[in-house]
Amino acid sequence: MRKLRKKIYFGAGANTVCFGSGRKEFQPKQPMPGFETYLKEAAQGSLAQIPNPEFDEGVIANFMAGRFLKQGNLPGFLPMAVPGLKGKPCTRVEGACGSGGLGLAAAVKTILSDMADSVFVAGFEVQNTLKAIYVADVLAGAGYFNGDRKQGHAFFFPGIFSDRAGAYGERYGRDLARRGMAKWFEQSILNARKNPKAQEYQNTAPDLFRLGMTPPDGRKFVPHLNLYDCSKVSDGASSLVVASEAGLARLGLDKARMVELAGFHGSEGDITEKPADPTVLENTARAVQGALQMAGIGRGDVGVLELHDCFSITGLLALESIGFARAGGGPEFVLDGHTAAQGELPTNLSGGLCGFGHPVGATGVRQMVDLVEQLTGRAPNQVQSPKDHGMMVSMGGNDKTVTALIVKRAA
Amino acid sequence: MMGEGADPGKAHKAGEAGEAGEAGEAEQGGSKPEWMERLRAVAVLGAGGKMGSGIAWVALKAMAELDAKENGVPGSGRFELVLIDADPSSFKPLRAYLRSQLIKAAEKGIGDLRLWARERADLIENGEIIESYVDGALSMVRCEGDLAGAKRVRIVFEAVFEDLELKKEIYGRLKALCGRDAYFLTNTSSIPISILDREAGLNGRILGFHFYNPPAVQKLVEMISGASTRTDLVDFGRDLCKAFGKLGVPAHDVAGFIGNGHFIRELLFALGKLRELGVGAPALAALDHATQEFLIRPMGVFQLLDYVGLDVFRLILKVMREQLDAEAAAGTVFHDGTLEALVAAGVKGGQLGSGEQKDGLFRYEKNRIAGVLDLESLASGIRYLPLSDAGVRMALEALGAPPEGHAPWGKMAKDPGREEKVAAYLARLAKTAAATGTGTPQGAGERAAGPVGFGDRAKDPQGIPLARQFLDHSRAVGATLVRTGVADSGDAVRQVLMNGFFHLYGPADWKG
Repeated sequence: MRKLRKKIYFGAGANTVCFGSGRKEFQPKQPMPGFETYLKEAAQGSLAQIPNPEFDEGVIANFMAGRFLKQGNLPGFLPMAVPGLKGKPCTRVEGACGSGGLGLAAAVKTILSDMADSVFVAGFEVQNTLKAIYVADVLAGAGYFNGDRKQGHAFFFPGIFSDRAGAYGERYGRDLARRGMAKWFEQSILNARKNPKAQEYQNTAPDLFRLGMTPPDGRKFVPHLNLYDCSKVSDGASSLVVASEAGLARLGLDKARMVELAGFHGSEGDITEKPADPTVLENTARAVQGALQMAGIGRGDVGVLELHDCFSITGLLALESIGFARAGGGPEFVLDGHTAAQGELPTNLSGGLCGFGHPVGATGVRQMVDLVEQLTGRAPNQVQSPKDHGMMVSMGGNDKTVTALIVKRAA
Repeated sequence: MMGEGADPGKAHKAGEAGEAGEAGEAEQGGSKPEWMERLRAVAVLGAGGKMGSGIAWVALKAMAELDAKENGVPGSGRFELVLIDADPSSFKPLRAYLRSQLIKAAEKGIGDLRLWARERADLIENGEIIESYVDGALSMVRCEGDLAGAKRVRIVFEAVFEDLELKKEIYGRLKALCGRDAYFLTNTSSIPISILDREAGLNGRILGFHFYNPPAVQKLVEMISGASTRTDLVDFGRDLCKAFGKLGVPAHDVAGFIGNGHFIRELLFALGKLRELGVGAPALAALDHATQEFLIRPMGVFQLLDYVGLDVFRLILKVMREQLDAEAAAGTVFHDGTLEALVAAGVKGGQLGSGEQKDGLFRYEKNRIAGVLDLESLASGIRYLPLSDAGVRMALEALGAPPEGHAPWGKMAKDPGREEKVAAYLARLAKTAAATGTGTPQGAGERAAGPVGFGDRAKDPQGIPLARQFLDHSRAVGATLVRTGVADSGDAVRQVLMNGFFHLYGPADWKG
């Protein structure tokens, strides 16, 4: 197993508010901020933390600006947001919902290759330019369009994960699965309520678990998921800095406010193939396995976790596929409170995709921003974990483009 | 838009395609139910109007769905909807309205659309399927400025002005134009079907098919058979209601039928009350408020009059007067001097094409009451008093509060337990009303021409007694409609009022 050949740090993270339905200021019929606004706001949040913002390179992660915004050539927006990137190499990465994770990995590899000491990474998505029914068309591009779109559900991805939820319920019990998903929803919203930037921050629904238990209605939506099982349509941006020790020194950043990369690994599946077992996220499992090996730790050493819960069922499947829970044991693991803020494995403390929201291209970057804040004691929903490591899983499509990163307290 | 619709070449082609389509069906041996076959060729008369455009949408939706089920997406050329209006300037907004309705319906029904279009390999994304659905459905529509456009159609929905002479003339021409098996569905809300049938010589091929406003939203259709309406047409009407997703309630052929039979009488009662209380803005506001709040209805009686439009109300009243007063022993019932004065003074009501409420007895801002007609100064022009007017405010305060268990209509209507809650509220209202005496409010009539014109804050609150009088009256009208055979049963009256007027209870549910 390959080891990291030098130390790499993440820090100076910033997230914009995750904007969309659920936020009081969201008025779908009023003009909304453009993506430039989000990018600049995130970048300014990062730059404000950096005494000497000199970067060697920039990476921008985004999924479908070409369709949502009719905008390509995204690297050109990095110098707009970060003037110091003018004249520097910039790259756009795309791996659907896993774009953010890919962006982080790209920055890490550039530094490992000695081509750069400091890389600015931004991720963003603005989706509310379209109605949900058309957003579904765009997001369907994260699956195999020629092979699967025609037969797929109108809401393509909810249909795919509904199939997974259906297969899971079939094998392990529908009621258990439903209760697990309801609990996941409850946990997500409870965490989001502590995070002023979360899309569900202002959610005041009284009985979250009961809402989560709403029986799915296949005629109105999909057969095995209700609307509470789904992350929403979101706008937002996140950014941070990836740097070597030399880079940190140049930027003037304090290690105490950074986290150090312990291991990372990517795993790609053949997008034209159906999952061998719909109850397993095999690429999630492989990516995490690789990252743990590189870090030289066991999964029990992970103190805080960031999972890619585009749907509640995805969160449960990830817990099982990684091995935190046995196969079929995900719902109980969550129902027993292990993943709650007070549990032994606090998960998605800023709300996750179900609670914080899912500005697709920003999500992976956002996960790392939140891990930095948790491990350096500055998170809005701070927990005191005795463990030093945090892990994030960034997943694109139907468990196809997956990057896992493990970080630890730097100081 | 209009040029496209009126293009004779296009119309000709569409007609041919329609025939070819039918022949094709026959060859396949697939014999479809009659209502489906008839929906291939439909006309709407008065399509540019408020009701006509709504009916056009309801028909187009059903036709587009049939076409999509048969051919993947609509626009096969086997269906045609002819929209006829004497005013060609209505066509552009009419097409825009149909397009926006189609988009909304297609977005909402995308699951079905995808299913119907499953064989169309070229239509993959929601956006592509929705666009093709909307364009295809609109290609069924042909706008025509003259009745001649209805040639060859098999169903005619007629929604022209409520005027017997006009309708007689139209049906006279239609009879000659349309095929001998065409069905005529009239949207009249008051003119007896038998008279139209007899005067136009339609041989029983006419059925009252009375949509409620707006047809796109309202579930209710009153179905009125004339004395000689053919039974196959009655059956067809029932099938059509199902195809349209409407609730068809049969009513008998007495002017006004059930809905207006109740509404017109209630409004006459309210106008009588207005005079009794002293014709002024305060009484107008108070009566309207009492009939909305205390009766838990979506609108008070006078706002509803504005909604319907004073001119439309007057036309219906005229029909009922001509049809019913002759038979009535009591002489002229369906006439109201106050209404005549209001219409003469230019008070109108009704809605703009956009659905925005026009000023009438009230002034409206964004469809909400913002001013009250100053009835006392009507002779010198139309003026509105603000809601903050002292007299209006005192009159509203004099109503007092509704009894316990009350909730505004908007809230009650959404309450899953509304049936029990409404029953409990009505019982409470009955009990309170019984305890507060005869229920005759103290009006300005007795107090000479006081500035308030309604009530007196020192006396008992007057909302409850007023509510009781309206409920008593409504119950009596409901009973009359059943006794005189207009409605089959009390339940039919209840269904019409609940589905057509959004009441939360029927007249007979009041036990006070």
